[in-house]
Parts: sequence; C-alpha cells; structure tokens
Amino acid sequence: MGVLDSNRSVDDATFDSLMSKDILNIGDLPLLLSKVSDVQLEKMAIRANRESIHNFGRTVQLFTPLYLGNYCENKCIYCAFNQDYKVKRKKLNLDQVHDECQSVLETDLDEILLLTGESRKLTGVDYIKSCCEVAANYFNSVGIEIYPLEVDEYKALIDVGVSSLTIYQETYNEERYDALHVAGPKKDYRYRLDAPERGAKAGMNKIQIGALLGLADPFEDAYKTAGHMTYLMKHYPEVEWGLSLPRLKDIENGNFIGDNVEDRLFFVQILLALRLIFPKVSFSVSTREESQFREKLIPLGVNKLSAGVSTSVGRQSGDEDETKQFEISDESSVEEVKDMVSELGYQVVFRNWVTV
Amino acid sequence: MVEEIDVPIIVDAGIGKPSDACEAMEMGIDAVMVNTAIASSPDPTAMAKAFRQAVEAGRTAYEAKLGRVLNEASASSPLTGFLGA
Repeated sequence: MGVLDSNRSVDDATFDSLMSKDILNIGDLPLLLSKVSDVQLEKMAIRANRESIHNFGRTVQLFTPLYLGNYCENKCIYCAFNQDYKVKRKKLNLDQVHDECQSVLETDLDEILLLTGESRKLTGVDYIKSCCEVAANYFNSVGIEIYPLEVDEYKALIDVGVSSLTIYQETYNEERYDALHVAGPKKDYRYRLDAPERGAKAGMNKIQIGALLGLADPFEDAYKTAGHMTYLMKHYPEVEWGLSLPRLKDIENGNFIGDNVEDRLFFVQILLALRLIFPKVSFSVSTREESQFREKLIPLGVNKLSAGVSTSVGRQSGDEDETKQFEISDESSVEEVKDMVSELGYQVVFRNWVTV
Repeated sequence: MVEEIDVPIIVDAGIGKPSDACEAMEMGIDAVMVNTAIASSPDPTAMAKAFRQAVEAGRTAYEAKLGRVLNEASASSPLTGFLGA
C-alpha cells in the first residue's frame, strides 16, 4: 500500500493491473486517489458503471428530507444552526408533521428523512419518536438524520417504524473536528463516531455514513470514510450500508470559509474510487449539487437522490428563508428529477420494499 | 461479421435446437434457417413453435441491448468527458 499522495501519478501498466483485479479494497485507495490521467479516470468510470448496473440495475432511489426542528445546542462553525447564529428557531408540532407528510406523499415519494438540530431539551427523543410514528403512517421508509443516540434510543425509534439512519462524521481529522465544533455535545468526536455502530446494534436496516468534504483535507476524509465503512461492513454485514460525500457550501451568516472542493474532477474521482471499492454500497448525492451535475453522476454509480428538497423547518409555513440549514443548488421537483432519471434510461424506485 | 458488414446475415447450418436460434438472434443475426431439427422431431409442429418463440426472444433481447454498448467510434470519454468541458 502506498502513501496517500494525490500528486503522484500512476503508470498505465500499474493502473491496468490494479483495474484487472476482481475485487478492490481500501488498500487500493492510494492508487485510485492518485493523479490519474483522463483515460485512467474513464476506465474507473466504465468499471463503476458496469458494477453499479450489475448490483443495482439501472435504478435510482428517491427520497426527501423534512426538517422537524432547528433548535441546537452546538456551536459548529460551518453550520447555520449554530447556537450563536441568527436563524429563526422553530419546530413542527405533530399536526404540522402530518401536513408535511401528506404533501410529500402527494409527490409519490415513499422514503422520508427526518432531521433535527441537536437539542434533547426542545427536540428530544420522545418528540422525535412521535414524529417518526406519524411519518411511518405515510411512508414505508422512514429515516433519521439527528444527533447521536444510545442503542436503546435507536431501538425505540425502530419500534415505531424507523428503518434508516444517516449520520455523518463531518470530518475524520480529530484535530480539525475539535476546532470546528466549538461547544456543545457534538464536540464529542468518539461518541459521534460510534453512532453508526450503535445503530447497527439496535437493528437499523440501513445506515448511511460520510464526511462533509471541505472541512479538512478531502483525500484524508475520503480515505478515513472508507476505513470506517470497511470496519462497519465487516462487523455488521446484515446492514444495508450507504455512503454520501456532500461538498461543503459556505453559509451566509457564519464566519467560516471552508476549503471547498471546487474541482469537480477531484470530487468525481473520489466518488469513483469509493464506488469501486464498495460496489454494493448505495451512494447518495444531495441537492448541494446542481441538477445537471447530479445527472452526470448517475451512470457513475450514484443510485440515491433527494428530490423536491427544502432545508427549512417545514416547507409550507412561509418562513422558509429564515429557518434553513443551507442553500440548495438543485431545486428540482420530484417530477423533474423523475423525468431526468428516465431520460437517462434509468428507472426511479420509490418503494424498495414494504413492511408486512 | 454482424459488426463488420452491413448486409443481412442468415445462419443456415448448425441450428440444432431452439436455444441455438435464440443465441444467433441475440448476436444480431437477421434470420436463421432450420430444417433437420424440425423435420426429425417426433412433433414437428411443436418444435417449429419452439423455434419461433426462441427467435422472437433472441431478437427482442438483441433490440433491448441497443444503446448500452459503448461504441469505439463515439466520444472518447463518454462517462467522464463532461468534466473537461
């Protein structure tokens, strides 16, 4: 295994020998993340395309997020929900959750992702559980992207119909993590790191991990995300694992300028490298990316997309601009995303499985 | 041959069973000719029907593959070419 050096190029013979292996793993990442030529990148793409079609067919799963509340006790420099930042704080009551679910249901979606900021006081586990219970009446797949919980708390949510957990480590660079999370429970790096494993122990069907590219060295974060995934898949093979690597976007009212990953080629290379070493893991791309770009990523192995997105607390209340977490770049409706996917020759999957 | 020349290609020998016909059609052959396999069958009508079904299946499969094969003559980087733009 070589040193992770993104400036080192690899000769064609070595590269072709690597690509002729049936199975690629984290040991191959230094070469896959090195300075590859256009031809080599295309070879990675061809293999990623072939393996994705083999494992998933030509399908793309759609879902949408619903922010339940943005109260937060943390002071994460890069996030609009930072306790010190001026954003209108709000949480939905259960009637509003019903209304929001109904409106999402009308777009044909069957998977919803419920999010909150971190406040056990104002959006505690009992509140989240009640909201999940409401959502489970509308959707076959209810996921959560909230603060880290204990095993028995995850179990309680699973009991009311939650089947999916999303939790990003943000960055795997501990020093950087400490600097970015100034105060609040999220400052505990290890507690957050162990959350996917607690979710697996509780019995979550699907778990998504990832890093926010741009918070630290993106190659380092991609590599360590791969390390985390390798560990989790080995110990919990029964879970349907998923990956996402959102690219950081600057926020309006913060004083943080990220080391944003502007280079699309670089981002695509990371995506392809991870796709190649994890051919059976689902890969999702958020609306931080523009529609035309997301479209190009589907043949490269992205098989899960959010659609009809709003990052505000509730979408129907009229104060969306004041409560949102970040600006999205793809405002496509579910129908528009569905059309985009179909035009590529892929099929949208709304309902992956049903609970009986 | 199917890829090299642009005339209809008919296979006229070696089609001993319906799956052979199906396979030939999947490759893009335009037609198959069958005699012995049908004539020497105890139930020629049924065997002819099996061949018809096999030919239809093979042809449908061939047509369904159109557009999936990356043509050498097309853009050199069809999947990642957009990054150069």
